[in-house]
Amino acid sequence: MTETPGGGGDAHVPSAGSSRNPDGKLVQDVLAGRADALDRLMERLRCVPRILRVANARAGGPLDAHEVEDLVQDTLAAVWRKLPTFSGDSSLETWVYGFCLHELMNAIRRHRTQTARTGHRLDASTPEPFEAPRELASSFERERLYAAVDRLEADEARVLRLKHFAEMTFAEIGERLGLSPNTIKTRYYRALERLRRILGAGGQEDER
Amino acid sequence: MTADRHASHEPILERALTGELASSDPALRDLLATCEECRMRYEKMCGIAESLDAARAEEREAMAAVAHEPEAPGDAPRVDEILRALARDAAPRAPERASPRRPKVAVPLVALAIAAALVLAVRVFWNGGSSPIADPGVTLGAAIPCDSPRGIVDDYGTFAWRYSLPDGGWFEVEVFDEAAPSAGRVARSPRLDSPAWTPSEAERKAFPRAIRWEVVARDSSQRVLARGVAHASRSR
Repeated sequence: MTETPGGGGDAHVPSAGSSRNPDGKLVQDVLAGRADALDRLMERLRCVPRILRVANARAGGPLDAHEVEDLVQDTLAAVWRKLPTFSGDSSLETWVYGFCLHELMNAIRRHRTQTARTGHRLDASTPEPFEAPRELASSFERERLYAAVDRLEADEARVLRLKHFAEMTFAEIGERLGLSPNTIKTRYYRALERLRRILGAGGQEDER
Repeated sequence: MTADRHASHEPILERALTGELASSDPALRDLLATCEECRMRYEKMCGIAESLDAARAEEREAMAAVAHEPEAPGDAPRVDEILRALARDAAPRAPERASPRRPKVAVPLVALAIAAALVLAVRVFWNGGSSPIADPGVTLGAAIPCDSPRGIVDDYGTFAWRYSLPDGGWFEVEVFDEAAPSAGRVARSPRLDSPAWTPSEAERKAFPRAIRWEVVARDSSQRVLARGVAHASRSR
């Protein structure tokens, strides 16, 4: 996956061992195989079906309830695989939100392709193939941005996330990462420049 | 414009985009007025920064809506069941760390691990290059024997496996790029009621040279009954 979000994906610095916040500690305990931690993680991840339903509704509801429910397992499997990459920079729910969005948008793409192939609407409530309501276009745009962030170098992506998603100042980010604010600013600028190239080249980084 | 001159513009752009220079700063205004390329880059990067802020706002709104979304009766048991199965079958791996002191028992364990790896390598070789054991990734329920494609093949052709479905059950196949395991699936079959799937020629051509494919069997209520995993690569 491109695995994600405002908080997730490959670009996360692999630091699930981070225990700066309680969620980092929780994930650390799960990775250490503590059964009580797994119970707490289950409780926290019970939000996944609700996030998927809400994200689908916000995208204009292109999938039916059954199709959304079908995504729960894939999303949890993706979250589980990527658990060691959880940096603890955001809450677990925020991190998981990106996985939900990614799985949902992939499912919507498949749904639309299948609808286009069959050449007819399944029922009166099914949207026409490739008709993109504003909400859906916006969700695709958001997912494209997240996917581009995931393609950045891990240290650049982390700075970008801390700046825009955790809303930290450059000085705070520097303190968190043990670097000078000037180094953080340079990383941030590089990250923006790389994002510009990636987004300008349809997902493939343009070397210009 | 020479490359040197253009390079001298970078510090101004960096300072502007990190908030050290105001948009009304004369140095920035001069640069944007005289260098078309820098002006376009600056505007694009400002737009990206705004999009990131908008994404954050959208995320907050969505999470607020989630907080008000009622939990459906089946949500908790389903999540718990899936996570228990994941935990049982495939523990996520924490990043490895160097241990300052190794216990003495490490040497026999390493020897055992090497022996196990050799046995596994022989079994993989014997099975035409595909792993005879369950994929170390996510495997829920029982294993499905995957017949083809496996190992090195001319074309991926028809995907076939062996499993008897209960009434109302169905299969689904997912194909992944073996060379890019984190890139997500490259194809997914429709729901299948028999143990075979032939992707279209266009789909097969789009498959990468080496694939990992997974088949999952579900019952009529979507519960996973079994999974199978196999690896294959095209000879040309």
